[in-house]
Amino acid sequence: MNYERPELVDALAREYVLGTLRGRARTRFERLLPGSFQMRRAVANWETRLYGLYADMPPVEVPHTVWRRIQAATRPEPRRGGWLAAMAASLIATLFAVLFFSIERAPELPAYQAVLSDSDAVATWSVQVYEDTATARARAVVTTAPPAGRVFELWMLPEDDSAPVSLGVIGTGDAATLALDARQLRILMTSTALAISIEPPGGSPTGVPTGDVVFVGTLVEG
Amino acid sequence: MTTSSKLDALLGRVAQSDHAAFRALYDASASRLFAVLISILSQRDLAEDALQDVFVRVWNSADAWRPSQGAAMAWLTTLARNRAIDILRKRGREMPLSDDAAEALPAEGSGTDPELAAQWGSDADRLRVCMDELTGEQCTSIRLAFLRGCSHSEVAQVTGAPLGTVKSWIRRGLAALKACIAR
Repeated sequence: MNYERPELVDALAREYVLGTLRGRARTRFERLLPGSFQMRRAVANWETRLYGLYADMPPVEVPHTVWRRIQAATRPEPRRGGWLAAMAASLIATLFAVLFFSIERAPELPAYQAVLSDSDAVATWSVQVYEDTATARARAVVTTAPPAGRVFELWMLPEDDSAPVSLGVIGTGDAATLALDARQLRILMTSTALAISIEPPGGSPTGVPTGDVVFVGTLVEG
Repeated sequence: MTTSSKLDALLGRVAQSDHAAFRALYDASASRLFAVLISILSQRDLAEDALQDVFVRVWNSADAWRPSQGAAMAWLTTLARNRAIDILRKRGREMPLSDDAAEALPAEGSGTDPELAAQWGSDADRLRVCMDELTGEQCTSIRLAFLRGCSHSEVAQVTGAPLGTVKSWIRRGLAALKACIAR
């Protein structure tokens, strides 16, 4: 089945969001979702259309016990006298991690990286692209923030000087991990630089930078 | 700051393991998500377990959420809906849907809160206008599937219509909805 056919992707996303895609079809759709920009976009569009049905639904008070159970599962209180056991567990975990990483695989190295600078050549953002996990990790080197109500968006500049292609919206924070699809990774192979522009919330509505390109950096192989 | 951007900011802090932000996110969204879970699962105890699962998942994987993918409330709602559908898949419905399941749905258009709909990234007014343009059968089957987590065959059982007819109501109804919202 060709999941890149737009009408099929839209039909599956429609049934997935509605909840009627069930069984193995649902499992398979969920497995492919993180790797396909088209599928994620179709799902997001159907969520935007249908989640408004919940605007009519009155909230229901949750018993206090639920939060206590969540708290116990997310922030276990250290038990008295348990520090020795905790230390032993931590030591074992460390040993296991060291063994695991030394035997199983080398530490993950970025396939590409770039340090972006502003117009005064001051380094502002560092970006690493990891092919294993198909992610780009962006970190601010110095504190930078987009103007109020705007976000930063990360772009790659193809070597043939064609239009920049988005790698994703960084947002307003000082770090972001962006999930990349196969198309983005392919274009990265032939891109020469990365850039950050200022865009409306959610990113450029047109697919190319609409606001000022504020930071640029050469893309090098990691 | 709007409710929706408040939730986005809180979820961003949860991704950095900020437990106070996690509590605030819970306070701001749990009663809505609980309603979502109860409407699908029909049983409070199952819905409580599901809500716990959802928030433990939020704590452990908030860094998977990207603002570019949509509002925080939509992400939370998706986690809750998927958990509820997963529970139905594993356990089946212990409480069979009654014939009046359609009547047990929240009343349409009763006090729609635009601010609330905006939390999900939706325009509730537009959606209501477009739902009103559907036929009664299309509207009911879409609401049974979406709000009650009914499968195609469960919608057929509740409405008494053949399975193929139900699938066609839903397919045509959603196509009309999509076209109407885009207008």
